[in-house]
This record gives sequence, structure tokens and C-alpha cells, in this order.
Amino acid sequence: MIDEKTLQEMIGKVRRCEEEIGRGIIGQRAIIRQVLLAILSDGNVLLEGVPGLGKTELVKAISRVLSTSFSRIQFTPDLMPADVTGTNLIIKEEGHNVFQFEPGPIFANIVLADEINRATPKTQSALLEAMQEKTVTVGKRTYEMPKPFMVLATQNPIENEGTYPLPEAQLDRFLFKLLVEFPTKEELKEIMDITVTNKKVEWNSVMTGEDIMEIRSMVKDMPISDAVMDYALSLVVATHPERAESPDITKSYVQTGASPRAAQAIVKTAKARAFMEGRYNVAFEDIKFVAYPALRHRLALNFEAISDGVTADKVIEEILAALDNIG
Amino acid sequence: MDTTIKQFVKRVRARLREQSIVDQLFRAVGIGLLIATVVSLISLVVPFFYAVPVAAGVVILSFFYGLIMGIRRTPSMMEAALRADAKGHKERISTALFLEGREDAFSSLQKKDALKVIDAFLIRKEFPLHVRGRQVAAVIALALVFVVSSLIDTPARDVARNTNAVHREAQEEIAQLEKVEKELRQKKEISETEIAELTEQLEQAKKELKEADSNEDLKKAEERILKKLEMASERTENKTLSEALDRAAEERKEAAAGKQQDLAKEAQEAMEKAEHGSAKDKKDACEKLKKLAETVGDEELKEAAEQYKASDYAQSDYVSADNALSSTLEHLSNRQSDFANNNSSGQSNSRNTANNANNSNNQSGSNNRQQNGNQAGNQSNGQSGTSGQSGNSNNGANGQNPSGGQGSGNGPGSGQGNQNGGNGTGGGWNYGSKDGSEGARKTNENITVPDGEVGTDENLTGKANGNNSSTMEKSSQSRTWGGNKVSYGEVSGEYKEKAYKKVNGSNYPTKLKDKIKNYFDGLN
Repeated sequence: MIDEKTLQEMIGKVRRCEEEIGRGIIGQRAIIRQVLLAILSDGNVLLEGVPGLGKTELVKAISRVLSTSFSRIQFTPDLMPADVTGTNLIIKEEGHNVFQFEPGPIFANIVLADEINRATPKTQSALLEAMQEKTVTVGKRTYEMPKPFMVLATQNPIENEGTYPLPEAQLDRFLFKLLVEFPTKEELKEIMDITVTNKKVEWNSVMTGEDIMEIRSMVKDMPISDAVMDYALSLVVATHPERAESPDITKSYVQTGASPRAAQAIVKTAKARAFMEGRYNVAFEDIKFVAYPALRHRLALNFEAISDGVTADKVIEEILAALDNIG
Repeated sequence: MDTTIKQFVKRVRARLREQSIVDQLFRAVGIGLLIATVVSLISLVVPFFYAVPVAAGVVILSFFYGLIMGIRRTPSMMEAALRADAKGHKERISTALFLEGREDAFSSLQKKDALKVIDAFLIRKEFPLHVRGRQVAAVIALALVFVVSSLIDTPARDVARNTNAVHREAQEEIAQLEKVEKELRQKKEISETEIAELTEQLEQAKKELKEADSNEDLKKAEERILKKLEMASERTENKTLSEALDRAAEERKEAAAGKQQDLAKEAQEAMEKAEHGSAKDKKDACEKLKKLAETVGDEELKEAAEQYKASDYAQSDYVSADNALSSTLEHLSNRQSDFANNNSSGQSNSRNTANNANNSNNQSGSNNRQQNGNQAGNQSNGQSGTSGQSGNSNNGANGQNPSGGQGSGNGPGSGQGNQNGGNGTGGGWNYGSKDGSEGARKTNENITVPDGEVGTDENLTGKANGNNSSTMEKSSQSRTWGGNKVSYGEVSGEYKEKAYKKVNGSNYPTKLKDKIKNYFDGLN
């Protein structure tokens, strides 16, 4: 039974967590919040941005603040699945050679899959089971991932040579796709102040893995009214060009709409956002806030969209506007 | 908690209903007023008698439509809650309403949170009754235009009023005809065929009445109805039917006379009022004079009325119009008394009495019906009219109408003679009054109608003698033609009757029929 005090305490912890991470990660407030939303919603995040924007630092900070284990995997073309998941080694035990599973770097609470699109699809798919099922199967044995478990993958949007774009199925397994923007001049100055001086940011642990699991449970119970739920579902349905009620932009530029996983992602993360806001119900603005990161990697745009320079975010914006007009 | 939340949402809903009613009322009444104004403005140039009532009806209907739509468009409880949430409360109220009846921890916390919002929510402040200035201005402007345009009097409106009056009278006439038809149907003595024939004629008459757009049209239609009734009465061998038709014709005549009297009285009163009255009174007097003139067919009065109006109600023209009215009134009075006398003395519902129908001395009033007298050897001329011509009796008493009646037309009628005098009455097709004297003069003239036989006069014939002399002697070979002398009126009446029958049985357009009839009317 949740009591208000516990609830408020947890909300306070999440907010402190956000502030703590923000001390060292300059200019990425929105990203910090969205990553936290994904953590509270038990989801994985794909971070897209040019190198040097502090993506790795962000993940490190999160793991520190959340008092969780962290591992980083640099994805390269020659990276093998076993390098990610781990492998069985032959060791001598009481005079006999036996196989012993040596866990790979994926066995951590927070895994940073750096430049995930540089690895071959075979290796990328090694992450699939871990991301979705929270298990890893090596040989005949299946190993459970530690709790909480989360993958934060990064990819560089500029260098396409020698990369393997993530397949749709794998993209769909990421709860959010976050676009890491270049900081402003003022924010850059702050970054300089921290990184090129002797000043050092020490992150304090604010939460534990147990806290995260408890909050995840709380978030699931967050009430959402029919009207808000209907709005979220209408949003997902409106991404499908074959539906008559879809707005014109969808029909013009979308090739394939979002999957039901998108609806789950929206509702789950909207609940988490309401929680972080200190509310006990989901509002329309929560849906709108999470719509962009939850949908942008799930919309397959057609050639016209690419040639017209229409982005997924633009399509989502128009769909939201169309829904507001109907409402 | 649930009750408090629900009560709050109900109050919000009630407030939203008020706003909805206000919005819908303004919108609907605005549209209604727009339509009403357009109708009213159109009626300024296009005759439409019911324009103002229709326009007012549209406005009233639009008011009720707005009211009903306002109530119908009241938001539901959830919509009301969402509208309240839209004031920056992030769906707290709607979620609380959604969670009604749930008692789990999160639901309770959520409702408590919503109650905090509700406590601070001022419904009247958050939802003030809002009326758009433009809407109000538009409604007021339209209402003003509508009222003003409704009050303006234009020729089109005069036409509409007159036409409507004509239609009303036509409807009354139709009702009377239907009554006659109904009465006839109830009589067992009248066969289905006769009823069918009569119905056909009456239907045509009704059609003519319905198509009448002016007093003149109506008058003509009424005349034709009367004529049809009389002709039907003449044609039929069925005594019951004949009596019923005669009675109906008499009623029609009485009604027409009564109507004329009423109009005359109204015109007289209007003229008295107009003498020192306002322009409106004068205009009203003109209208009434005109209507009277059209009804009685008095061109002189009509011209006088139009002249009075055209001269912008000059005093000299007032006098002329008043004189013309006096003349018409006198004429009507004479006709009325003549009509009364005819009615009182000349009840000629038997067709086997007098030999000749009366010779009326009005413009049309000739009657040439020959009937067989059943009195011993009586041949009397029943007569009515100004001239008061004595009835002639070859064998017996003189038929006489002592009254000095003038010009109520009576063509086909009947006369009756007896030992003590001859009386006549009849119904005519033409009701001219001013030519009465002329008609009287003409009908007194006798003309010879040859009968194709050799005359009975003695003739002398010359006979040559041998000694270049000659002697005159009587011859049986007459050089004269035999014939009878009959009155001019009788001849022209017969001529006209035949013409009327021919025309009525034809497919000529009504206007052309009128023209032909007018020609024959003018023969008297």
C-alpha cells in the first residue's frame, strides 16, 4: 500500500537525482529528464548526437547518482556478440575441465553501447534479448540481467560510412530516441569551467537500484483517465497513413506508422513524467512531452519526406496540432 | 470526496450550459434576424403580404431553436471536467471524476489532489458569461433594420395587401360554393350525373376564383359563377336542382350587393376622415375608393380616386372624388332598392308562368326567354327597371312593376303575369349601372324580325287594257313580308346569351373570354 509520505519521498529522490546529474552535465536538462523517465519506465534509450556532447559522461553520472553498476561497450565492426554477452570459458575445477560462464560487459545495471551502429547487425542483435527480455542466453543457459537494467546506446548521425543502421525491429526496442543538441555558448563556457580546470564534479549517490524498482512499481499504478488514454492512442493511430482519420501530413510523408509498443512507451513514460512532476494523474501535456522521443524512431518516413526535408519531429508536431484541433 | 467532485463538476456543467445557451441564442437569433430582414427587404419591392408575420415567425423560431440547441449542446460531465481542467489543472478534475468509486491508494491521493484544486476554483471567475460584442452589435443592427423595413409602406406592400384581401374574399366565395355543392349532393332528387356536371363547372369557377389577383378579376369570376349557376338552372329539367341553383344565385347576388354596400360605407367613412385627416387617412380613402370602384366596375370613380392620389391629395380632386363617390352611392342605392323590389315581388321560380322574361332597362338586362303562360290567355311582360314600363297584357291585365328600379342586370330570368299585374325578375350577367338609361332607351325600340311568310297586306296591281289604258285592281299576291316586332333588348339579349354560351364552352383564355363578353355587354 502506497502512502503519500513514501510517494513524496520517492518523488523527492527523483528530483534530487535530476538536480545532481545536472550539476555536471551542462546544457542537457531535457536529456537528463528524458533518460530518467526511461529509467523509471524500465526502458532503453538511443542517444543520437555528434561526439563530444557528454553522452558517456551522462551515463556515468547516472550510474553514480543511482548507485548502480555501469559498463561501457565501444561498438566496432569487429566486435563479436560474445564480446557483449560473455562467453563460456574452459577452466580446471577439481582436476576436470569445465565450462564456466564469464559474463560480458552487458551484465551491468546501466550499459552504455557506444556508437552502436558501427557494430555488425549480428552483434547489434546480441543486445536484443537483453534489452527486451532482460536475459542473455549463452549456449544452453539463460542468464538474467541485474535489476534494474538499462541500455543506453549512442550513434553518430553524421558519419555513415562503415556503419550498420539499426534495423526497425531493434529501433522499436528503444523506449526513447533522444537527440543530443549542441550546447549554447553560455553552457559551453560552463562546460569549459568544469573540464579544463582543476575543478572536479563529484556526484553523490541519491538513489539505489531498489528505489528505482520501487518507483517503477509506483509509476505503473499512476491513474490515467479515459480521455488522456484516448488521446495517447489517437496519437499513435494518427501515425498510420492507411487510416482515414490520419492527418494529411501522415498520409503524405509516413511510410509505416508506430507499433503498439509506441503506445506502451507513451503511456508508461507519461506516467513517469506525471510522477516526476509530483502529480497523481497523467495529463495531456505529459503525453505531448513524451510523444517526440517515443515516436520519432518509430516512424518510417517515405522518400517524399526525405526530399522535402520533413523530419519525424515535424510530422509528430503536425499530428499533435491536428489532434488538438479535433479536441 | 466523490460527491464533492461530482457536485463541483455539475456546477461547472450548469455554468457551461448557460454559456452555451447564450452563444446559441445569439447565433440563432442573429441568423433568424438576418433571414427576417432579407424577407422584409424583399417584400418592399416584391408583393408578399405575409412577409412581416413570416419574418417575425422566423425570429421567434430561431429563438427557440437557439434555446434548444443551447441546452442540447451542454457538455457532458466528463467534458465539463475537462473544460475545468483546461484552466491549468492538468486533468486533475477529470481524472478524479474518472476514478469515482475507486478507493486504492493512488486514487485517493489523486482525488485529494483534485479537491485542493476544486477548493480554489471559482467557477464564475473562470467561466464568466461571455457575450461577443460583435455578435450583440450585429443582432441589434439587424433588429433595427428589420423593424424599420417592416414599417415602411411601399407600392409593393399595397399590392400585397390588396391581393391578400382579394384572395381572402375568393376563399370566402369558394367556401360558399362548396357549401352549395354540399347541399346539392345531399338532395336525393338530383342525379349523380347532374351533380358531376355541376361539380365540374363549380371546380372551374373555384379555379378562376383562386387565380383572381385583383378586385376586377374577382368581380369577373363572381359574375361568371353567377352566370354558370343561372345557366345550369335554365338547362336542367330537374326542378329541385333548378330551385337550388336559383337560390344559390340569389344568395350570391345578395352577398355581392351586401359587399358593395359595405365597401361603399367604408369608402364614405374614409372620405369623411380624409377631408381633414392625415396623409395616411387620405391614402386610405384613395385605396377604399379604388377598391369600391373596382368592385362595382365604376371607371369614373376609379379615375377620380387615382387622380386624387396623383395630385398629392389636392382639395379640388378631393371634391371630384367625393362627387364621384356620391354618384356611385346613389347608383348603388338605386340598384339595391331595385334588387329588393325584384326579390320581393318577382319570385319567379316557376318556369311555366309568364311568357316573356322581363325586359330590364339596364345595360345588359334583356331577357328573351319565352315561356308558356299557364294563365288563361295571358301574355304579360314582366318588367323591372328605371323606366317602369308597364307590363302589357294582350288578354287581361297589365303586368306592371311600379317601382322605378334601375339597372341591376337581369338577363335570363322569368316573369309572371296575372290578372292584376305583371311582375318580373331576373338575374343578369352584367351589372353596369351608368349605362342603365341608355339601355332603357334601346330596349324600348322595336325591331322587326321576319318570319319568312308572305305578308297579309292587300296590294294593287295594274292591268293593261287594250286602249292604251290600264286599270288597277286588287291582287292576292302580297309584296310584303310577314314578321313580328320584338324589342331591341330581347334581340340583343338573345344574341349575347348565345355568344356567352359559345364562349363559355370554348377553350379561349379567360382574358380573351372577358374581352368577348365585354364586347357583347357593350351592345346594349
